Amino acid sequence: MADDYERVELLLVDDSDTDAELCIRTLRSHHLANNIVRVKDGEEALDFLFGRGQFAGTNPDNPPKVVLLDLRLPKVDGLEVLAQVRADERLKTVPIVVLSSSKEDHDVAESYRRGANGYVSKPVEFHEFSDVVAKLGLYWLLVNKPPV
Amino acid sequence: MCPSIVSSEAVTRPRSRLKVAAAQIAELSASRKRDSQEPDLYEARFHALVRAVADGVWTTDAQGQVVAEILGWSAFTGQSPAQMSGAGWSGALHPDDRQRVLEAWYQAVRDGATRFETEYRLRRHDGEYRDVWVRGAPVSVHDERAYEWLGIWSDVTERKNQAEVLRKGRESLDQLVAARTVTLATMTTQLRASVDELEAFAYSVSHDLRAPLRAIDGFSRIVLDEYADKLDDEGRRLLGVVCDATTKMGQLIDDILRLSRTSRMDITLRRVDMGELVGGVLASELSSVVTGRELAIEIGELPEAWGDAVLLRHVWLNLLDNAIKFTVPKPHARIEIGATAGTGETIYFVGDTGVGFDMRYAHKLFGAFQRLHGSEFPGTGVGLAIVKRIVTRHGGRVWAESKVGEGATFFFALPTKGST
Repeated sequence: MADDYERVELLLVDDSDTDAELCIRTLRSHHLANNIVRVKDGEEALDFLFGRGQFAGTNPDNPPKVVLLDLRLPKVDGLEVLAQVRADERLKTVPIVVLSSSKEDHDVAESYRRGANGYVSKPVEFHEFSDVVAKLGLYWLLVNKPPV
Repeated sequence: MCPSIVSSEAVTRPRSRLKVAAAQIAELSASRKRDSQEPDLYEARFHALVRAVADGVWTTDAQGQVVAEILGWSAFTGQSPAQMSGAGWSGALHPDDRQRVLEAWYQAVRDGATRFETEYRLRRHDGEYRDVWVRGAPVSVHDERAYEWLGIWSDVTERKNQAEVLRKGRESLDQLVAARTVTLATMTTQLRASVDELEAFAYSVSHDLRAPLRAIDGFSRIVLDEYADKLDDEGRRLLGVVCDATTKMGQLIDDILRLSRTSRMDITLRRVDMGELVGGVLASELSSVVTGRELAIEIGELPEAWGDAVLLRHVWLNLLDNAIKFTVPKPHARIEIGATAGTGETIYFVGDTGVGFDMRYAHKLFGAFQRLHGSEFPGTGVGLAIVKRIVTRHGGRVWAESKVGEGATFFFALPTKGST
């Protein structure tokens, strides 16, 4: 069944439309992601990953190659998403990289403690931002070998 | 000594001693003549002593019964000598005290106590109950059982009232202090909550501001990159101004966060090698801005400080960065770093031969986002505010001296260990 769906390569969890657009635009311009899904809050992210709610039908056994996760999110925040995903046997290995505006030591430390695979703070300056996102996409989608 | 005993002994002596006895009798009769005037004096002395120590004197027989008038008692209570005799005196006591006092009294008498002391309320002739203090002791000869009891009594109402006033005063003072302490604690908690809220606000606002800023810069850049051919030079310049402004605002947001972080960070006091901090800062963060400059940096003796190394490093970084920055326009610039001992504190300083500042604006130096120079010098004006916050959190103080065109010296004093 799962094979009938084209595998989602990248799940982008970000409540900011403009950040999401800049991010997706950058990835596309570098031909890095064919199948990107973007969700706006932590609850949608969990629904997608666990295949429930509006995303009933997606398969937790076939997760994205990488999740780019913002921390400050409506409803369920990024740290809680991390905790729930890491507690699930099928999803505990899915690569999750935190992509946040925060540069706070506390946020970085807490993200890793909850099982993030990386932490990248979003630069304000667009050229830096686009450079960072391109490198992220290149590494996690092309260089890195995912667990499944 | 009883004179009658002496005389009866003398009578039983042999005749050979008659002369002696006769002399004794003569002496005795002379002394009796003297004594005949003295009982008044003895009694006067006795009464004076009683007035000095008490309001009255009482005596009882060996069984604790009043058999002679209690001195001062009639005038005070209005009881007649007949009324007070036996245990009749207790009729003037407050009914609630009577039984307790009588029981204690006869107990003391039965047990052969060496002293009796009590307090009770005594009805005065005008009907008012007064607090009375009583003390007595058995009269005994050759440590045998009591022959009688002798004691004093006093009205101690005033003294008790004064003590009560004092006690109440102390009590209300204690209550006041306790109430003030609670108020202060509440205010401190509220203040702490406000500060925390403010810091949380600064944190959240700063983060939330970054996203729209990224959008302004991002979409302007995309227009510049992808639609450049549709814009003329002025159009491209204007969009460039937008992008530069967002970069500047990005720096401001970073600085607000740095400042807020300085207040939120926990302080860990330890021995800090200030020489090592200064050397470290100059060798790492500031090495790039120093290289290629004609700049003499003299580092004097820097005593150890008692503080938080991470935070104090920021103090040196900001002060040295300023000194290096504001000496740029000056040839053969010099920066002097040193310390002097103060009273219970060590005063560290960074002096430079840079452009200096007008002392009239010295009070603005350490305020957040206050700048005394224009855009010819980079910065957002948060460095010295951070310095002040850190030094203040250490219980120290900061100040600066300068003359326009002749350089500036920044001082910070930190309390030495044990002086806080």
